[in-house]
Amino acid sequence: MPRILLLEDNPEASEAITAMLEALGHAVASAPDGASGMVKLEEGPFDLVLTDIMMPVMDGISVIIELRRSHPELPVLAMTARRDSNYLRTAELLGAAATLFKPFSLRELGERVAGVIKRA
Amino acid sequence: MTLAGQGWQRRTWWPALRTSGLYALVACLWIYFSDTVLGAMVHDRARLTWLSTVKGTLFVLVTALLLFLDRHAGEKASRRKRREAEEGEARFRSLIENAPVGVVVADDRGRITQANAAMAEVTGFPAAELAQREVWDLAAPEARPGVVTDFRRLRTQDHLHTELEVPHRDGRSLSLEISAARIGADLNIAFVRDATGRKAEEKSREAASAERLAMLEAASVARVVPWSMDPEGWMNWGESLGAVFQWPGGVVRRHQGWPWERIHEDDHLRLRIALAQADQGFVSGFECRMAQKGHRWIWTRWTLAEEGGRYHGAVQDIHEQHEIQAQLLQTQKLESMGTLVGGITHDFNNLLMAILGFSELLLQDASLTKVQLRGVDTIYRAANRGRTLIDQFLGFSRKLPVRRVQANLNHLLEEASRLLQHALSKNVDLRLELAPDLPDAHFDPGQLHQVVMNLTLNARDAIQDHGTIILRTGLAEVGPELAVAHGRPEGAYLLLEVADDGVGIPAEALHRIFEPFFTTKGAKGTGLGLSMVHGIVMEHGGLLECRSKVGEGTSMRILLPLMAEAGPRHLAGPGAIPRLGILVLATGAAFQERITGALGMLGQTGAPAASPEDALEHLDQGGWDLLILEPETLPAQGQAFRRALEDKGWKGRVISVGSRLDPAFQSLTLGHLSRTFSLFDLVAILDRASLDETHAQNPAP
Repeated sequence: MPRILLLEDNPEASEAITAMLEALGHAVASAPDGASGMVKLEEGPFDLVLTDIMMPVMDGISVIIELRRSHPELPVLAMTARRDSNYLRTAELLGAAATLFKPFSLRELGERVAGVIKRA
Repeated sequence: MTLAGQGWQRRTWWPALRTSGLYALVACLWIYFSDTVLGAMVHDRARLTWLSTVKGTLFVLVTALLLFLDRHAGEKASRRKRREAEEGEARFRSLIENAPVGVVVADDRGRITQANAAMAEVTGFPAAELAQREVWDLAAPEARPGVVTDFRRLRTQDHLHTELEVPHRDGRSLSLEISAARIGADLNIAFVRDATGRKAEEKSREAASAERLAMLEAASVARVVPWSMDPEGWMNWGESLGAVFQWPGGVVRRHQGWPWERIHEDDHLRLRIALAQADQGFVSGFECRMAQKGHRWIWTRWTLAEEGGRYHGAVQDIHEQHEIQAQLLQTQKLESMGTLVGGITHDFNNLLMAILGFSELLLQDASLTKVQLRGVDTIYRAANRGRTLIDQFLGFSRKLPVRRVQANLNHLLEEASRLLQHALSKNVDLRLELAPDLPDAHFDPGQLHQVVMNLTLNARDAIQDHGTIILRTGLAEVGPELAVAHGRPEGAYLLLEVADDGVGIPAEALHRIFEPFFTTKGAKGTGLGLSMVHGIVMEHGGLLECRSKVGEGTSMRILLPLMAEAGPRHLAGPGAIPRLGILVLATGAAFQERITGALGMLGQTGAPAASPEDALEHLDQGGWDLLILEPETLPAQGQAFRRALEDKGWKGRVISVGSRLDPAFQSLTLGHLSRTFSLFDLVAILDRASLDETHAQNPAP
């Protein structure tokens, strides 16, 4: 069962995405910001990190940069609720394997996650 | 002159000759007749001799008496004449002395014999001093030959009138008006008037007239008309009235009463209030619409003051200013709305994530009852509508990223019209008027499709399902006025027009139609359609114009930049930034490192340059597409550096660090990067750069 680390600061959204990932058959560990996410990473191994961009303490961009450096083989899926931004474009350029705008459907999530894990 | 002299001499000796002749004749006749009578009557010789002696003595006595009487009368007359002459001379002198104008008397050799007090006053020299000089000595040295000639001409001409520049004793130049005449032998007189003041006055009058013209010109340019109203209620307008308001039927600059009929009805109350305020003092900046030629209302600003029943002030045409301000206000309104919406939608999308996520999961839960399922379905659909609404918000606030590709407007309209044919009633005549060989443009087909649909459905509502809708493409020119009003460059644009022959939009609604939540459709409309259209067109670097007449129809004109002029935007798809060589010339090694580090993370090649010279050396090696430049590194040598870049034939673009822009690099500058830039800022500017590269490689046809 693929393990996914979810980094999301909004508690309701975090719960919903966790439930959706579990419905898709993944094991999920979650953290409310990038810094605690990096600690959580030690509980691994994980097959995928799904991270929000705007988060307190350590944002998703820093997470991606850090993971590219420390875990180059671990794929990152970036998501944001800011559709009016180039956050996801930046994430892609920094090496995120795929991106998602919130809110997304179960189908969209399933496709992205499957695509990324398969590539990895 | 000799003839006149002879006449004068004859007149002098003729009476004397006549008198002596008469005397000789009478004396001869007396001797002859008295001797004849004596000879006939007296025959005594001795008596005859005695009588002859008596007669002779008597004759001598009578003659002596006559001579005495004549000499006495002559002496009296000549004495009177001499006295008269003396008196005349004195009168003449006194007349000259007291004349209110300067008088100079001179002999035929030009020597001044008399100059009066007025003359002394005019020239500043005492009269006694003047009297020792010659007339031409009064003139400035360079004018003396002219004066000598004029003085000689007096002999033949008797009279002349001239103007002469003469130095005053204190050195300033006088302008004298001189009337000279020869009034007798050796007697020349000149009347002199100081015209310096009058000349200056003339000059100042000329200057005043020029000033008046300049003021009129300025008033016309500034579009200001001064006015006043006297206590009788007569209104007087300044001369610039015609230029500013072009009122028809000749400009009436004076008329009775306030020009109510030329002021917009809605603004009458404002003028009344302003008039009431003017009674207590000065009113400035009161604005109202006034009629211009062609039934056009233009915005004007009034100043108003009241003084003893008399009003005065000025009216300025501020229409253009007003339009630009309205445009600006609109833009600012939409922008602040955009910022607000951006923040709100982030939170909303997170909430919707939870609602949509869980309701979607619940919808797949087989254990739910039918009622429960229906409830969850409603939640799911409502939340989905919320998501659409947010996208609409983002659309009008220009926040959705545009995904532009090279495409053709004609194809877009053909496709849209196929879809629209089904949506429109049979009574609607949808026509396509597409310009052949229309050049491609960079636009987001999905968003422009939305724009066309939206405008066409608006047109359908305007014609109330009966009439004609025309979808038109072409090329259009954006002139300076429009360019300024919309903050876009002048030049050629692609035109996309949706025109109808429907009810039209009333003038007072026309300037509000792009406002979010403004609708003329009542409960049916959301007021978001046109603001979304506006947002999309703005995001494409275009212009949106609405021309409408009530009862005749509406034309919505969208002007999109041609490809070469298209503003730099994001390109679709990941990894679209080609690998660029980027040289960084900025202050502070740490800052340079931060930029090059960030560039490296984004897959770009960045290198710091230690100095402008170092940068030029780097550029010599080639392979640099961009220069990130902080103007502070080039104190006062921007121009020189720019020339050095040109000499090297470098074709790259510049990203300026900080908000200060070196004018030397204005045309090369792609954008600004703050010293506290985020990675997102850097990505945005690199996207622009890469789009610019694409343009450079594929120039527009």
